[in-house]
Amino acid sequence: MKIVSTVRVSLKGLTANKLRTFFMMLGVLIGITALTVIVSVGQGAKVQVMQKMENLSAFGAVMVVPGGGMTRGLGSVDAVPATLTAEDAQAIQAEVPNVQDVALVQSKQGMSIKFGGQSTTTMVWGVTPNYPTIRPTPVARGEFFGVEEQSSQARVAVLGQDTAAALFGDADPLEQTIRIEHVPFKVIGLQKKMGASPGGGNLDDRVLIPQGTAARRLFNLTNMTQLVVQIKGREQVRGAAERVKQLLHERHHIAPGMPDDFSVRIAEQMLGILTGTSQTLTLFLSIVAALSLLVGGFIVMNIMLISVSERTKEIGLRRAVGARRRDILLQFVLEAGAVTAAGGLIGVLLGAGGALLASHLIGWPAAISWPAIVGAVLFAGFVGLIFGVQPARKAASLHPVEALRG
Amino acid sequence: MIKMDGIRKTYRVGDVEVAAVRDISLHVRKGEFVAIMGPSGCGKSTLMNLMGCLDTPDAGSYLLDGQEVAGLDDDALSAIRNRKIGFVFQSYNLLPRANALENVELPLIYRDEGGIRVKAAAALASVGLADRAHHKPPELSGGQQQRVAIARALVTDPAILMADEPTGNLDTKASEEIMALFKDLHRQGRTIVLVTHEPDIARHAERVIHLKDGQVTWESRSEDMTVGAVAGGRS
Repeated sequence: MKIVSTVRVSLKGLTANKLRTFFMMLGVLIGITALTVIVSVGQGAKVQVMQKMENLSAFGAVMVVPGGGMTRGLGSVDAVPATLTAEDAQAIQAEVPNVQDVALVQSKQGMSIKFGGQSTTTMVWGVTPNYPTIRPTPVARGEFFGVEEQSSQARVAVLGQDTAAALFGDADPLEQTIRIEHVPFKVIGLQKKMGASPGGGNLDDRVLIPQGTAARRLFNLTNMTQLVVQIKGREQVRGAAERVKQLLHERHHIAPGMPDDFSVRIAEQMLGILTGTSQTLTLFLSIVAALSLLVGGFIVMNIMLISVSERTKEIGLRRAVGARRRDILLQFVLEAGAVTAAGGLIGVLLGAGGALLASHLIGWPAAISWPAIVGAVLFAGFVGLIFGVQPARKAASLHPVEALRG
Repeated sequence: MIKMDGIRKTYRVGDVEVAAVRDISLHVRKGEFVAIMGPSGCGKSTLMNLMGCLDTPDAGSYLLDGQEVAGLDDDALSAIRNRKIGFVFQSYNLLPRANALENVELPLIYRDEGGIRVKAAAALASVGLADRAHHKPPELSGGQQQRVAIARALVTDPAILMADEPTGNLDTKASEEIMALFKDLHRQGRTIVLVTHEPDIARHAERVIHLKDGQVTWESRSEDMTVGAVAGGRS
């Protein structure tokens, strides 16, 4: 018997009872729809984080932060272990190969900023003038501070858009004098709108000042909250990170086996940390969806069993006119597989549509992955084949004489 | 065409063994029209199933078209049913949702050959239903449905046509039409084995084999048959 005729016979069996076929499809359809939405949104979240890190040139840099833990974002200079210094940065620049540049970051949260009668509280970042070349920090108006301001410990500031709006409303902040913890600073630049950092912090709500000024005139501390090490060539990042680690072990006299007082991160790791939660959630939801597929499989099996006992006479007739056991087996297995594959296909389309709609309406990022879609349809068909085998075997094992009797 | 020798078939019902067919030996020649007759429970359905290779005998030899089929496996029997035997059943056994043409095509889809549609259309035309090809069984009369079933049996050009109470569900007029069709086919050279309990139907055959308690009791030519029926009444 030709496979084409078998498929034709199977499709005939399916179109004969459309409502039943629909119900058979439903379980798998729902499972695949859910799975598609979950995977698309999960994938979308990952793509979004990667895009942000890409925008910040994060993949070409090694980050060093004080303390051994894996904290997110930037700490406050007075709250983190005071283990990371400008000398560490110099040593990294001098001794680690392939290092292009090192930027220093001293940051502190909860700083009070005032202009006239307006006040706000935000994070102040003391950064070296090379910071924007490593981490793009575009300025919409005015300019970023330079080496001159760094060495003279000038009291100048670049404002994030949200911070500027809180203090000045629609008025022009440039050349105005704001007070950070009562110390006067002149606004020389206004950052472009940047949005959220990969870690979720708001990059538009901050004040950037020269690191030298921050250390001497504002925080009165010399330890760093972050070193950003720019590496020549992405493929060198991993090796450089190891060298930075070794160097800091020596410089901080950390014996093997002792806990580090710093941690070195690269973007690939960060990606893991940042998407870790959503991946766990995606995995959990995927398991739930997979379970619904399993339930769908049992529905298919049940309905197929009913179908087989209802179509006993048909099976008997087919056997009488020359169908072999395996022809009957194939017919019913293909019927189940075709139903679930169709359910999978519809489910994927619904799911992809749903994910895109969700991304459009509530701003969830969604990425449709074609391999995942093809995989889902094949998997759905596979579920049908597996769960169709038992009813099909039952059909094939019927004795022709008894089957004809009905 | 058919040569059975010492064929036996026993069924087990609970703890009791019932011999449905007991050492039957019989002969059907090529081109013959034979009826198998007997009261219900005489084993004629079992004999029919054995002849049609739907079932296998427990003992004995069965030569069908020169081939021994008694010991064949399921796949081989399926192939023989497909190539050598055409079945006509009492309840037609048509697929209700497939049209007449598709019903006639059914045996051909279990073969590896082309021209299915053409052959099916020709078979349907040969039973006078060319204009009903796209009607579904529920849209056809009983007699028409049985003719579709006969076309389905003929489409494979089988060595033997086997009909099990083919007029059992039909009124007198339709029965006569169906029997006329069988006679036509017989005149065209078909070998036909007909199972029935009605003497009126059996008399259309050339020869009648009478069965009782799983054994052949007597044989008659159809002319004697009418006499026998009158003498013994309808059993």
